[in-house]
Amino acid sequence: MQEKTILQYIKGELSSSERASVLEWIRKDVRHQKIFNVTKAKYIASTINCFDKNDTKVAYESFYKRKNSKKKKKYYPIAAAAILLPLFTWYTFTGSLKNNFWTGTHYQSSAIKTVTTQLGAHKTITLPDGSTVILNSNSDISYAKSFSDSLRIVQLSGEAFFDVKRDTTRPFIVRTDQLKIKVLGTSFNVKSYPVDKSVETTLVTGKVEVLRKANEIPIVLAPSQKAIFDKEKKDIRINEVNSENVVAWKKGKLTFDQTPLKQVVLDLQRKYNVEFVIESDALLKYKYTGEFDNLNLTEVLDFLKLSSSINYKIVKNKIMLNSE
Amino acid sequence: MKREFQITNKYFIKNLNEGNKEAFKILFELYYPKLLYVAQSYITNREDAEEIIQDVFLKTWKKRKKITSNVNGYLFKMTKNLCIDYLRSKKYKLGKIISTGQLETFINLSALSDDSAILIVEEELAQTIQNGIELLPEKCKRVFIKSRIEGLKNKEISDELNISIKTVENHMSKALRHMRFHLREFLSFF
Repeated sequence: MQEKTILQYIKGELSSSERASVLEWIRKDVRHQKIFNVTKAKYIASTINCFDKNDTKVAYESFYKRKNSKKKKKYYPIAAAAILLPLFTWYTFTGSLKNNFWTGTHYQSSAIKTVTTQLGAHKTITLPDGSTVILNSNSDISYAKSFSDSLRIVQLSGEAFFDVKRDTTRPFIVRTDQLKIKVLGTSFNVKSYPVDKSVETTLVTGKVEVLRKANEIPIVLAPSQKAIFDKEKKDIRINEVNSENVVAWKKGKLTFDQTPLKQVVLDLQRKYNVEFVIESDALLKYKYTGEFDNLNLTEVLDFLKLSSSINYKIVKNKIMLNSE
Repeated sequence: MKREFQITNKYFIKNLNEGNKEAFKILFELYYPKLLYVAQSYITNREDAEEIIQDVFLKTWKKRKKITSNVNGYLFKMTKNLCIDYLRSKKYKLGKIISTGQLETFINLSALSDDSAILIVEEELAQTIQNGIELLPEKCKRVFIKSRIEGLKNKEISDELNISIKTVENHMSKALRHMRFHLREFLSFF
């Protein structure tokens, strides 16, 4: 392997398949590992003075406060266990054990609170900093009972609308499956169900940053933009949307705009707590546009039938969808 | 090379041992961004790296009486060890499925534990910190060291070096301009 490739790997310039092959090469032989160790050390040494992303002032203030506080700080192994334990359940459940992106240690948390919603239910939560969260059905959110001095971190699985209190000294971070969303104060919607193909972040007001990894350049969203992260392809696409529609679920509405039927069905399952089966292959490709404004399940099915070529029948509590 | 104004300066170390606020501030300003860069290079998670470096300084503060002249090595080794602990704890939490992220944890753990490789970073760190101070013009440097490292007041410096307070102030502003240029992270402080 060429040194140039190793260097590109260290700089994070390679695609995921190229990365995998470099990793394989390093792991194959201790001599390779040694070459990597030295190349990496040399690269860090040569760039150590170029690090200008500095928040040193804020960091110093935080250090100053902490060193003067008499309170004993919990060090990370203990606190990490406190946050990882409840999250681990979710972690295992979703089978995303492979993704270690957010296993970040949360040092200062003394106690973690988790709020869960059942299928078809919503909940409104007030966070310790006064921010509010409306949690959509079949979702859960975990957060420290008191946020740290420097960060406000919540962990989300599912969908939620956030209205974050502005606090420029403490960024608000939503950790979710493979993504992080960072804000100072703003309102936005995050949809990240483990079974869905993508993670969607939609900004209503203010400014948010979407990050795949901690050290990459964030994607900044403007109001009414939606960032769609494809979990398989690992890429992010930005769409202009009507943010009112995206957050319409808060008022019991479901809005679809050229949405693949597979996704429509996932949303309906969560809202109505029923199981759908798409029986025809043609329907898998079908994209649906329409709005269900506080309808009951029968009304939804009839509406679906009227507004598209989709027919349904109910067999043993399952709703079978067919094209006419 | 003349090395009278090193970070290992005995007055500076004494001030650190005594818990002098200014001395700790300058230590933090000089080292925080660089240690953070090193930690982040090996553990990849920015926030966790930030917490680790905060811990490094909090531990240094608690054990301030034990700081000796090798403060560079002390800070660096603690950063390295905390990063190793972090990667180890992560390794165990990941279970048996081998993912790219997990492999990276492994190879970074090996890289951090490779003493001869990691020494390259440690030495460069000492050098780059030193350079920022060394490059100052002689008189200017003396005033800067007296003020920021030994913690003397302008009046005391003026008496000791037999120059006017005005001159002390001029040297200080020149030194700070220089530091701004050579150590970008000073920008946010002065």
